[in-house]
Amino acid sequence: MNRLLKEKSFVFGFLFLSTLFVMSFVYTYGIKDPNDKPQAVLYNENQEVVARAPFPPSEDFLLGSDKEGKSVLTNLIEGAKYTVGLAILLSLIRIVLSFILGYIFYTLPKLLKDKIEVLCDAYHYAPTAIFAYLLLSPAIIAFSWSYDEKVKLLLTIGVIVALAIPILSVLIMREIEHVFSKEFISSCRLIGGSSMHIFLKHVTPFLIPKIIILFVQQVGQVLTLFAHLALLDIFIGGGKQVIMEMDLEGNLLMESFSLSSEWGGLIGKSWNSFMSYPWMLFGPILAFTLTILAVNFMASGLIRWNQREYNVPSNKKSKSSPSVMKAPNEHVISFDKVKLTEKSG
Amino acid sequence: MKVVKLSVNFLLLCISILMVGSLPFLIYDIDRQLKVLKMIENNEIENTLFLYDSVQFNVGSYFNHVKEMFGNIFSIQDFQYYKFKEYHPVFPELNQLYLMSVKYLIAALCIGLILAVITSFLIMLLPTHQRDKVKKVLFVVESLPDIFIIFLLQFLIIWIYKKTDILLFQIVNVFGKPAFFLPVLCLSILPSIYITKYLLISLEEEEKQSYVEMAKGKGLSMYYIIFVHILRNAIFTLLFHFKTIFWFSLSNLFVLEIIFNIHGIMTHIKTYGSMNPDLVTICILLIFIPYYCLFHLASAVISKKIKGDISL
Repeated sequence: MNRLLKEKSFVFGFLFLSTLFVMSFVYTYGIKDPNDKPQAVLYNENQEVVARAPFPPSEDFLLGSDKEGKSVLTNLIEGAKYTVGLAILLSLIRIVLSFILGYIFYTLPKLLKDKIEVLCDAYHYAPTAIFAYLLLSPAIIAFSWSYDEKVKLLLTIGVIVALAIPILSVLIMREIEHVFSKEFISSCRLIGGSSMHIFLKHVTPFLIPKIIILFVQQVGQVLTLFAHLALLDIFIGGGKQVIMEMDLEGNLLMESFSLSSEWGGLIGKSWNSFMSYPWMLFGPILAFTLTILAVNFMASGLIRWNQREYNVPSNKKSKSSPSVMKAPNEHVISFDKVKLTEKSG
Repeated sequence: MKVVKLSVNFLLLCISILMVGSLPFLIYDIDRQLKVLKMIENNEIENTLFLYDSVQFNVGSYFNHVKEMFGNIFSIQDFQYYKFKEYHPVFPELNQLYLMSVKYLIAALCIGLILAVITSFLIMLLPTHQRDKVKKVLFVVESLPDIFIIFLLQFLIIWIYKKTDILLFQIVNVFGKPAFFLPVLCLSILPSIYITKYLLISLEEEEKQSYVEMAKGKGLSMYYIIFVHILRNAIFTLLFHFKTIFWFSLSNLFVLEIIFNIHGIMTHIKTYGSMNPDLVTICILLIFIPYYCLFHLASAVISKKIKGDISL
């Protein structure tokens, strides 16, 4: 743990995310005054109209304001807990489910494993957002009249979780396979450890750091997916389509509104007015970028920490390294020479 | 033997894509919903308050649809999709959009590759401690989401235009005048950084080989060694990462087409894909089939060539 704290990039990313989170909660439940209505029109002392919302970035509104006169920055801080919280929650569900599925895949025969890997490869021929769109858009965009908000929300969460599971569980399966192929596992088998015992006692300690890394990477991927889905008018806060006006040909112009100030929703909301009020789009995109950057920093710090902890030989061994396995290993050499020479050759 | 395995995999992948593409038919009753949509668009019903549907699992109709799609896949020309009140044939229209997207994608990948070769060549010429600094910068840029880079570039162009009245490039697609140069440039930036990363790894691996030492001992210049000897060996290892690079570029293409309003395959999916899951499936197949064939052809040729080199 101490060594992890020495990884500057990890600490930096972690601090950024936790500050964002704490700020979001403190703002919503502490600082924010519920009676304070945003002003869409600003007056000077003589009650003359000075400006109308959206206001461009200035000293009062650091990142500008939206159409109702609310500051983009406070919107972003308010939405941070939903967006980042959801990303963390969804990645956690993804990882847990894929871990279970990955173990099940591992127990299958080799031919089947390879074929499953090929099947999962199909996800590499289109962006993830397109697959999500394929599954979500009928309920959220095309036929949105017949589904209620709760179904839409659960469906969105379900699809975002489910999309990653095939690739992720194959990845975890290969990881489990890799650990099982290590020498000390075969020696443990020889002394008579059952596969469940081996899995829990000897494989899991190797897997946990990898899983943590995967988890952090997943948070970044979920955030990217949120941003991409926002481009496709799908938001987690439940995209509500409101008819704004009719164009010349009589087609209804719909504008999507997000319920909470979730970042994806903020992107979708300000999408149409990008040319006239670019700052409304810039704020949420910047927020996504900084958060994804922080997550990636955390991931790279973790990867370096993991490499240092497990690959570089050092005197101080960590708890998870199998020092107990030393004795049986020596025995193996004496009566399992054939196997060992086979491996080295 | 290898051909058999590849064709089996190809078939499996096709089935997998068809099965994923038919998933909307599992959870929604698409046909019924389309009928309602048609009635709404024809003003036959006033409001939809009485309609309610929930997510369901129509396993039977799902497998029927997969079977139907698989049967129809060879008569791909006959597919139709729903577009405001009536059905339109998918094909002559999609060809053009598809070619547009592919043009952007291939141009961007080529430019990305050239940029990557140049940058990694330059980075290799630096001494080791400076190399690490450059790598750190590359890592940060690589971590930026595509949506940010593409948005920023477009914003920059608009800003320059507003300040100086010089429109550097055609920014968005308006009135049939396609923007080409800037989109391709945007599209090539992130893949080129990605390629640079992989290329650097294999270049540095290659640099430790003994033939490099030998060449140095012979008195060849570092430029010559890197460009002629190391690069030639290292560039083929990119093939192992090409799938990831391609996926990454596709995701970039998707963001780009939407932000720059390019009428390509991705915007087509955005506009009509929500009502026509089959259209999305066809688009994915259209990306997958040529890619799979070309990639495995190329890797077969290259692996033969590499083996030939080794035996020499």
